[in-house]
Amino acid sequence: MKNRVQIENLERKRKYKYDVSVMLLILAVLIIINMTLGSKNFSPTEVISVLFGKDVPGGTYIIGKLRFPRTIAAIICGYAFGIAGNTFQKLLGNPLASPDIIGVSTGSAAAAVFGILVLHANRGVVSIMAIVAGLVTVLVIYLIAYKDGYSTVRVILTGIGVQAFLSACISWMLLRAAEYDVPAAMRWMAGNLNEVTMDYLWLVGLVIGVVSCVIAVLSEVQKILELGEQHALILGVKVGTARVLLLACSVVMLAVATAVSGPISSIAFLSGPIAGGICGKNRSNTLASGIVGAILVIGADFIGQNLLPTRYPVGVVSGVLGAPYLLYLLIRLNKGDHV
Amino acid sequence: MNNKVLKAEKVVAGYRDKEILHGVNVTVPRGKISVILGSNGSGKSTLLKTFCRLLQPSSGSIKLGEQSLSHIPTRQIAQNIGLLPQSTTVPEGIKVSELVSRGRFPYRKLMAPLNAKDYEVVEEVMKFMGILELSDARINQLSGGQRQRVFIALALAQQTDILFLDEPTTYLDISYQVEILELLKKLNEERGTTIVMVLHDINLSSRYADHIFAMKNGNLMYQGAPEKIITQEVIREIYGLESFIIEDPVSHSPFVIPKAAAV
Repeated sequence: MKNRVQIENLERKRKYKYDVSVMLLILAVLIIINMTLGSKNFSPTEVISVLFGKDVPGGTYIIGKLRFPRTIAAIICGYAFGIAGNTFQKLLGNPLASPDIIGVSTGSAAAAVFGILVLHANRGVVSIMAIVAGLVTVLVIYLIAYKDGYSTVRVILTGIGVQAFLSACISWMLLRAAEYDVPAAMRWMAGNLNEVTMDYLWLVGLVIGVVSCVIAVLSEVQKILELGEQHALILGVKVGTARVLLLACSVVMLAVATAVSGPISSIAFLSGPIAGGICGKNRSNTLASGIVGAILVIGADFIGQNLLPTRYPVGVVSGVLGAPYLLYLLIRLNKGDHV
Repeated sequence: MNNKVLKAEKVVAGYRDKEILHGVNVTVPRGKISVILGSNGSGKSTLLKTFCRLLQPSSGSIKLGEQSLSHIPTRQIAQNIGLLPQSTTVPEGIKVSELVSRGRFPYRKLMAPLNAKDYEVVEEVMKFMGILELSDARINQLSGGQRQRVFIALALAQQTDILFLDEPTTYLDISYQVEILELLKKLNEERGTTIVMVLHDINLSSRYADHIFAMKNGNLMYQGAPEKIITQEVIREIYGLESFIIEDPVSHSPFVIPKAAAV
């Protein structure tokens, strides 16, 4: 016989599955819109023909070489930013502690810009540099913010400073760069899905998929960590190891995605809270945040490409979405409320 | 129930540049309610934290049975020693039964959902603490007393033989204080759970404790039954307070009436 707690728990799980299904449906619709509509419209049949290797006059290039990689990149990057952001926010217990606010994404982007403009490195090297720089940025923020234990507010404030410094570094490198390199490097300012190709996306998708599974496996541990360090220790969690592992996985996802698209603003910051708003904040929401991230990136990119008078990079559109929420949180922080 | 005795052997512990415990020897009486008394800064919370491995002794050791805690896997300790910390963090939006279920963590495998046994234990401890009706409520909707019962239920779901509580009644109204202590007494009597807690209220300690540890300046000064410890002399020495001792009309335990503090 099922007891009361079990019944309630199953009911919550059922609701979560329902919410996730609806999100997947929305994502599917956006994918279809993104593939079919644009500067030139195609029917879904034409899109499918192209994807199965048939030649459609005027469509093979636009769909196969432009829209398909772009859509896949949007899904992968959005998913990665969403999960990484949510994990940071949950671990540090504050929505402001998102990697794009506290400078982790900017650290990866700065390394990537350095790799492209100064070292003229290839994509693989740039990705590895982005990962290392992301991890180093976390470490630096932690070391600066550490003082008799760490406090989330100190981490956030330090991170905002680090973020400003690294953005300035990127601007400086762009100003000094040879003119013909600048368009390639501009994506690192706000995030951009232009010129992605399928060559490397498979590998990126694989890495992000595997790492996100590690985070999902650790979601129970993550929930225990939310009870605070002492309680987690008492319940038998190796707090230091668990925290480092979860943060490292998040940074890897973030950096790999950043190496593809640049730091698409606000996605990491917004996905977790939106997923929490829909599915309830009482879950780890790892998968849900990933799907929300993908939805946001595809949606913002579609708006940037098709619905505005000039074409804007996806990061500009998503940045506009994130700004009001950031202001709202900062005002609450300033009033001394618990954020 | 296993028969492992928990004891501190010559424990020296403290924080980075400040030694707080100066070589404390304590054997936790099994199946009893023990209370650690002492003025602020006497090291009672530090002793509790060291017992629960939240603080590593700089010398000496905490032993569970014959083994030092530092040699036992943390998960296994989590099945033997529970703690209600002084301050607790409530994850946003969490429901009562979800919070209590987290106490099952030491028994769960990675990825595996809660099993029938987990549900059984969670429901049972919630019934014991009288919070089953609240199972779908959010923690932040509860009163202080209800909230404390939820956190004790979490510790009970851990199914440990030994339960530590760090000032479980602080910030609660007197009626809730008595309610919580009655529940702990019931827990001790019905299940034989060994309870060790830090309390500020000497008279409630005297009423509910089987055994009292009296600490001062990081040393254990006296220990024994309340009748032996709650005396004018000991109160003067531990708290620097002159007092009368009368009999508690309800529990017939010693009751402290303070005179003015020695200034």
